[in-house]
Amino acid sequence: MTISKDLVAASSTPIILSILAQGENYGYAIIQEVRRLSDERIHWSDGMLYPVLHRLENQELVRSRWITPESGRKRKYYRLTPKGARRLKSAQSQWRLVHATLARLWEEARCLI
Amino acid sequence: MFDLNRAIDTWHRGLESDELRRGETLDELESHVREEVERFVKSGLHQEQAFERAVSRIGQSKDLAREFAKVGREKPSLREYLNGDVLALKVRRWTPRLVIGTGFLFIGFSGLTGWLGTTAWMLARLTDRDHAPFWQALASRSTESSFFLIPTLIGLTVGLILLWENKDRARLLIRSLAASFILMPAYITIGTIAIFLTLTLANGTPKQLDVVQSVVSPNGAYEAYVRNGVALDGPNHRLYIRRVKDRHFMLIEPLRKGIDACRGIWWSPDSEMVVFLSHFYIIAVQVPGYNTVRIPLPETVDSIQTGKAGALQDFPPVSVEFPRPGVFQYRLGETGGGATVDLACVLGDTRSRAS
Repeated sequence: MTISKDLVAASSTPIILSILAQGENYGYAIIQEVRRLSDERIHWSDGMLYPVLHRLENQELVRSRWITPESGRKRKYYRLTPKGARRLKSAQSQWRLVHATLARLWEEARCLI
Repeated sequence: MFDLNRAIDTWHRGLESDELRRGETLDELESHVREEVERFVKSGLHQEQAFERAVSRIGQSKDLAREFAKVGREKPSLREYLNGDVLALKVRRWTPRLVIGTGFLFIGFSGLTGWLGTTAWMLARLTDRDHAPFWQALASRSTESSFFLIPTLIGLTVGLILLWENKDRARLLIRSLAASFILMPAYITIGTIAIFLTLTLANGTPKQLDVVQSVVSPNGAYEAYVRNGVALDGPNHRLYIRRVKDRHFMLIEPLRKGIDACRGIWWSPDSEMVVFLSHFYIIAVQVPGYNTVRIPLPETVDSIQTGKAGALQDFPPVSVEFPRPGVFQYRLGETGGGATVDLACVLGDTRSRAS
């Protein structure tokens, strides 16, 4: 099963914010995390993540910094800002509401195929 | 042997669009590709295959640029303003446009100077100095000091170099040609108006200030006159005949600049012939019709060849008479030569009598 483009686009912000809510992280690891959590069913084009991250940074929902570990290459790490945390909370409420509504609707109407 | 760093450099250069150069986007993408290559290699792929797969997964340059362009259109953050990212982006975005714009400007400028020079050159040959001083002056500059030629060539060269430096040469070449074709009607229109105005004004009222000699025909219908233009190295006489009633004029002869000058004007009693005498020629004109006969003066022709002529005071006294209609007689000084010329015969190219 693949997820439609519209749904991928709509869900990308809350997913990224949610991953960053667990701690500072960098682009490549975020993509890997999404794959793992979705059992490889949510496929983001690798390049698609970075414009989203930059947009979130422009909106001051996340902040970034370059970190070079002692043994390793430098990576750009992102972390959630307080504004980002508030946005995530709001997104959680909205997505829960949508999810609950759809679940109830399909349960009551027994229209799940 | 596959070289990952070189491959990444090549890929890096291929991504260099305005949007992707913003901030450290390219570094971030490169870091991502390196991580991905490492993972694929660990899973057993050859480094080259791993690189190709990683690059294909990150997406095409144009797709990335489009996505980042959407971000670029959003309002930049205060930090981007402060650290100069916004300014750097604007400079990078506008530099190629400025270069192209300047290139077009130079080509347009060269077209303009080229057109001015050509128009001046043409008009200078259609009009005389007194009636079209502006164009005459421009033509004089354009030929004597390359007033137009040098800026035209410089403009064209610089313009083409600026445009040539751009990646998309073919498109710019087509645009340049299109621009030239678009500008051409404007140049032609302006040129036509300039020529029309110049010639119209030139046929109006000549300035009396420049007339150095003037003799009206006995019947008052025509006026023969001489204008003196500006020449640094001597006289610049031009011989004219003007119809008095409507002031229509005709340039009969421009004398050799700096060396020849008109010595006198004589009208025949029947007002049908006028004789101009210069240092080197005797010029007779029939009116109406303006048929002209130019007879070189033997004494002074020798002087021209030896370079001794031109001094007004050295010229012997001249007398001109009209013994009968259509015939004039001239005599140079006491012992100088002279001739009797039947104008109708000379014009008919049958015979001329000289004594």
